Amino acid sequence: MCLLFLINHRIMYSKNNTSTAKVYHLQASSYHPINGPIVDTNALVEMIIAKNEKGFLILYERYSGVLYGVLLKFVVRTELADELLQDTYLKIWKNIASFDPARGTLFTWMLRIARNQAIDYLRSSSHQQQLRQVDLDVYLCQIDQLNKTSSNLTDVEFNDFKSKALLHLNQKQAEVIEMIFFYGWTYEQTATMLKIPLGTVKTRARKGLGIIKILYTD
Amino acid sequence: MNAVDYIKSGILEDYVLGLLSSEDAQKVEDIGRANPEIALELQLLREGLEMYAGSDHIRHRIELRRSIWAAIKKLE
Repeated sequence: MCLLFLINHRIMYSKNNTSTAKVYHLQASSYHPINGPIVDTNALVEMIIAKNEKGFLILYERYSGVLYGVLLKFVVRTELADELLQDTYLKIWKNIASFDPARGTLFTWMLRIARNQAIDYLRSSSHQQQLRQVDLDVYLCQIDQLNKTSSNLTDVEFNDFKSKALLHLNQKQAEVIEMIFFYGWTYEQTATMLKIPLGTVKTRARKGLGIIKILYTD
Repeated sequence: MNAVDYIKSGILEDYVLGLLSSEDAQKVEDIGRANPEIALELQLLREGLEMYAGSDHIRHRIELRRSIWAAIKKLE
């Protein structure tokens, strides 16, 4: 699917819905799969509120990979993703006191901040100016074609686990997970955009997630 | 509904993807707290997804990490 299609619709959705979909999770366990030190999430939040450098290092170690992956999906270019990752961490740092664990995990809160940073950038005048001379659709779809798909460009950045998972997921399952998890679409919105039944979207997402879980537990 | 049927229903996947309403999410959390099998399933789904979405590459870019920390220090 053309990257532009996903992004433009995401921006329009964001304009009409200033509050993004709420994401609720159980309290994060002290274990984290991305090799972060074992520090309880609540303790980590306290460290960040206290402006502790070790807290930042843990926050970076645990979450920079997935946040960067999300940003890269939106802006494609690594130099822009670098800038936006910095902006994302600055925003997290400044707003940590407003994080409410009763409304979701630290991870999903950070994920929303990263998505919103990317969307704000794509809506910004500087970005629009850059693209003034170029038809945006053609431009981004050409990028897609150059790289076969939009995700191929970022796959280079991803870990062995994702590469392994992509061998087991079919393309349609990966696409639906991508739209929901990275871009923040609901089942209904995903079904509308892909022009497929709602039930099919649910089945693809759930089966895909089941495969990822099995690979993770292996 | 027993734990196996509940797990098979797909609601845990919806929860992990952040697609449930606050009321439904609260129910899942309550059920998870009361049932270790469901809690474990939720944990594995969430951790698997985070692993899938993550990138190892960026963590090793020490310069970027340092530059972000320098920017944070300027805030203070």
